[in-house]
Amino acid sequence: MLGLEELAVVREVKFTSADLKQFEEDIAKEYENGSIKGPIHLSDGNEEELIKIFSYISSNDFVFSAWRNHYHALLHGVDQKYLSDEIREGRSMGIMSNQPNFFSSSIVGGIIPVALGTALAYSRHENIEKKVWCFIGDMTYESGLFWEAYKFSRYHNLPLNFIVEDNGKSVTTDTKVTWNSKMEVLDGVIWYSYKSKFPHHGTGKWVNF
Amino acid sequence: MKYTYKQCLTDCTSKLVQEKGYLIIGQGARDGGHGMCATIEEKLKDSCIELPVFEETQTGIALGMGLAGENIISIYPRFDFFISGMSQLINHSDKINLMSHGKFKPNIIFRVGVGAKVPLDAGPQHTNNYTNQFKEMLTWIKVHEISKSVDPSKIFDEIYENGGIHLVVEHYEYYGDIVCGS
Repeated sequence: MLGLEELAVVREVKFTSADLKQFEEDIAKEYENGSIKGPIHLSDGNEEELIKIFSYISSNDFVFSAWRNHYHALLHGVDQKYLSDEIREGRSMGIMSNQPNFFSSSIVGGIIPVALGTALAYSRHENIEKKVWCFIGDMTYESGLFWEAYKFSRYHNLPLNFIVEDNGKSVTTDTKVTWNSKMEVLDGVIWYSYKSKFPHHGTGKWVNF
Repeated sequence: MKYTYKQCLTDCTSKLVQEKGYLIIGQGARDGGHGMCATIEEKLKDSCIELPVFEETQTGIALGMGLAGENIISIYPRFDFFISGMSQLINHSDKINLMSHGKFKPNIIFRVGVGAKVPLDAGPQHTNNYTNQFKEMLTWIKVHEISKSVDPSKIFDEIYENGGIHLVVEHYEYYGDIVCGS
């Protein structure tokens, strides 16, 4: 994992790796039973990395995530029952909360400008020490939206931290093959790679609804 | 007293900034350079944030600042440019109430100008009006077109009172016209 060198621990994370895995396993079972009437994108293989990263994220900070957001939501303190209920209602891909502040979206790269705006707003008030944390995948990291926001946030010294979660692909498209290269880890960007046992969507088993 | 469409837009903008703390963001917000800037008074400059030309990012910034509690007027000198920000408008700002169950209540005005065709015709990429298409696509954001017969102050009074997210479409061709009710 890269980019954590200058961060300070501000939170004791209450979830263990086993807790996180169990949450997703329970959701997977419900999904396979046909009781979740919407797409789910399950996390796996990045528990230790995220537990460490979230120890640097204050509960007062604003976290932005994408469609695979269950771990991020739990670790930031989104109520577990609320999260489970939202997933059961088919809203896994767009979990939102204002206590704590959590915004997710299923539009590739879409959270980046929104996160940038929140960081810009925070930066205007000297008495606000909140930070913004934006979790993106490796394909999104290559996008123009990322570049605009990265440049703007760095040039204006905004309290915006990008975390690149690199599984090497977007859905099943190989990031490195499509770009014919892959971007280096930029200054200030937190980066880690992982492999998940789950496919992009669902659990890998056919479900009859 | 003659009260023009442009003066009315100017006064409504100043009132929102001075009394409701709205910030104005976008290209030309502080540095000028296009027609809409003529409705942003010099005294508001400290409430203006000049941005690069990146309409999709700008439209997302407006929402992000709104989530952080700022009231935002995001300006776009041409509808033709604003459509570059459609993804953020439609996929995020328009869905924020639904997806957050009303927990996020940002106050944002997207001010969009329709380019004039007279006395100069600015051509096929600077004069389009997509208001009706946006009305069909947007489900939560209120769309207001300030046509010739509409007093802009009535629209801005509603925004002043109720907040929320609004798309306000104005026409440069009417800037010199006397508005209704004045």
